[in-house]
Amino acid sequence: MRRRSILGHPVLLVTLALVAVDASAQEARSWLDKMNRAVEELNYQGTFVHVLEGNAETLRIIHRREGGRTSERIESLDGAGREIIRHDNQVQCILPDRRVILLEEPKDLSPLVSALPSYSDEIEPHYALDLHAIARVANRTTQILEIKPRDAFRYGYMLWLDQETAMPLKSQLLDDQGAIVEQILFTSIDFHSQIPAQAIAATIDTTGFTTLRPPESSQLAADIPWRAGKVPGGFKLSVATQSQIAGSEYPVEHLVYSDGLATVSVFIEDPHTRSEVSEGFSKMGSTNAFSLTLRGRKVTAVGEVPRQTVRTIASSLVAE
Amino acid sequence: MGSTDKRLTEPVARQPAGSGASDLALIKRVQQGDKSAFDLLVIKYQHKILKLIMRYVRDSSEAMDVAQEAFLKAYRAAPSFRGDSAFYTWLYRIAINTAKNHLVAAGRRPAHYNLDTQDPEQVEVLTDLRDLDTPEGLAQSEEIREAINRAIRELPEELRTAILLREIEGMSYEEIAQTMECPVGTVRSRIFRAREAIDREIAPLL
Amino acid sequence: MTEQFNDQISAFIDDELPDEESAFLLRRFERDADARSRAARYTMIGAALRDELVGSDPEILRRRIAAALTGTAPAAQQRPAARVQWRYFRPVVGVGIAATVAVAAIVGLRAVNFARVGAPGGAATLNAPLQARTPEPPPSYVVPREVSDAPVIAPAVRLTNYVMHHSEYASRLNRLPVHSNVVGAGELLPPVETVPAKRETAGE
Repeated sequence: MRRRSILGHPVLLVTLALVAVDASAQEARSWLDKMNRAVEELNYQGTFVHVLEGNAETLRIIHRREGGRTSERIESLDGAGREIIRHDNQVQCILPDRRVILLEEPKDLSPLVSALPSYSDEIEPHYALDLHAIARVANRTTQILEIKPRDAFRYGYMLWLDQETAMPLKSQLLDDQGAIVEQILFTSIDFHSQIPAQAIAATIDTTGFTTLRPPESSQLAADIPWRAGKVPGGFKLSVATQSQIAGSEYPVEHLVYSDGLATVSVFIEDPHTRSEVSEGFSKMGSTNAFSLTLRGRKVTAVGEVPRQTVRTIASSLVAE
Repeated sequence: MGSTDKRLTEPVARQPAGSGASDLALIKRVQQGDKSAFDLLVIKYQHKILKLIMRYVRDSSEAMDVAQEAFLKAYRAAPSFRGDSAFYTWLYRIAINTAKNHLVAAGRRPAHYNLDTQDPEQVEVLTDLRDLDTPEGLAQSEEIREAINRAIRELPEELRTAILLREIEGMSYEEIAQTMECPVGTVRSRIFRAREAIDREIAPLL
Repeated sequence: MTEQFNDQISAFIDDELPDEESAFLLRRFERDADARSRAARYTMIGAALRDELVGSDPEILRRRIAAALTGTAPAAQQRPAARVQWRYFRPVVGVGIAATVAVAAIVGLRAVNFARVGAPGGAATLNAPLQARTPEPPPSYVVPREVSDAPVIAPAVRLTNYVMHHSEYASRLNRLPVHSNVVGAGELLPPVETVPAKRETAGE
């Protein structure tokens, strides 16, 4: 009796292949989760280059995690002298070129928003996760992870994750043509078991600076009647709130749609508002915006997604 | 990034003689919004900075873009200049970083990343920069150079010596006075008269 | 222009001019473009002798920088067409509460033509806790509290605010680019709209 090789069995072969793919995707998701934790929970300092539209800046970051609390300082090394200092949710942005300090106070986010997104099965239908080769970045070995969108409604990412820590040492935001929109590249990075608190202290003498803070926002999630009638697959409403916008007499309604990676906000203005926003597309680096008037209200969608996505979402707004 | 036995050293700007007080006065005016003061700083350092950048960016028009960006960065960052270092040192660092970042953005490695000399201004540029220009452009700059060289040759010896000690050797007036065994005021006058004579030759070309 | 004045220019570019003469000369430079051109020619002589001259026109860099520093839109300008493109605006991609502050910094303040954004003296110091506050009700971080009578060039402020609010809810994956755009020395925004000068008061 001739033995049947398992390799000749078509169903089994397909099943094995699917298992392999599934394992690979699971491993990729696992890398993403580790990355997410690494960025927040490790102690590190490094120098990196940020490249956008052909312009490059050199910056330094010191990130400290102690007793479950995170603090961070980022400064420009290219002469602008600006710094951002973050302690948990409180942020101090020091702008010596404007002699201004901006303070951002913590806000109570809607309970619908997950503070630390996990890259669950939900993104699988819309992004293909692939592990690629090993590469060297900043003198460290990294695993290349690609997050490839399955449609033209979202951007992709290419990540070089440190093999030891999962820290993204290089990251690229890619458009639907695969072109690089923006990238971050560490030229050096050091991990520490501890970083002293004074390493996070500001280095700029702010004597004579003006301190500014944003206006308070009120949140009335239950009363927002608006919803997008058409959204790309995977985008779900995660926030519905009302906010006071600086310079506006009337509050604006704010919806947030997310597919787990990309996020789009929709702002609906009060009909009495004399809107300043011009209609049509705007582009701000890798953030796109689209604005139009619907039923007497100016509607604006913004997000780090391709143009057609913000237009689709903004144009489909309906009142429930 | 080069052989392991070479130490990567940060280049150190060779500070032009005697520039501290004057630059500080200018940058303080810039901090108060005086753009003409910044124009004077550009006048003083544009050639040095451009030549420095060309050690990283070979193409002259690209180097011009990078130099412009470096000066504009310096202008925007002027409020944060505290005088801890000399202004030229600060500007020098901005220029180097801007040049390197330009290369990174263009996907190129900085050509002189492995410099093992303390002062890149000592390093010879390997290509003839003038070859990168258009023939028409070469004509004008070559004309200016020739006019200056001709005027220098025709100067009385004491004026020529004074200006060359100042411009080539970077000596202060005091040092030149000691070298030429004359008062500082005489040095100042000789250098001025040398410049006036040369300026008469080049002003019509500009 | 007298010979004595030219002599002062020559000593000035060598940083050998005494302070009292320097002060006078600096004031003269402010209004006398010919004096600056002469200073430029004097420095060009030294550059030529040291083989530092690059390119065909030794003065082109200086002209470009001067144009860039003064090349903002004139006071009265038509509102732009509906399609607005902010090519130089740093992205807000990313996450975190910091981003809202960041965008305000980039757009709301940078594009305002160096207008004062409130009286100095009320700032938090470095060593003070981050909870330091100004005593008055905080002004908007986008609309300056005080502007000069000179025309103000401002971007679409409302859109800026939207991007700021949006960034609070964006993905953590892009947090570092957001912060990088804040602290990076980005380009000045090209004028998108110009608004007539107006005095803003705190709390408006």
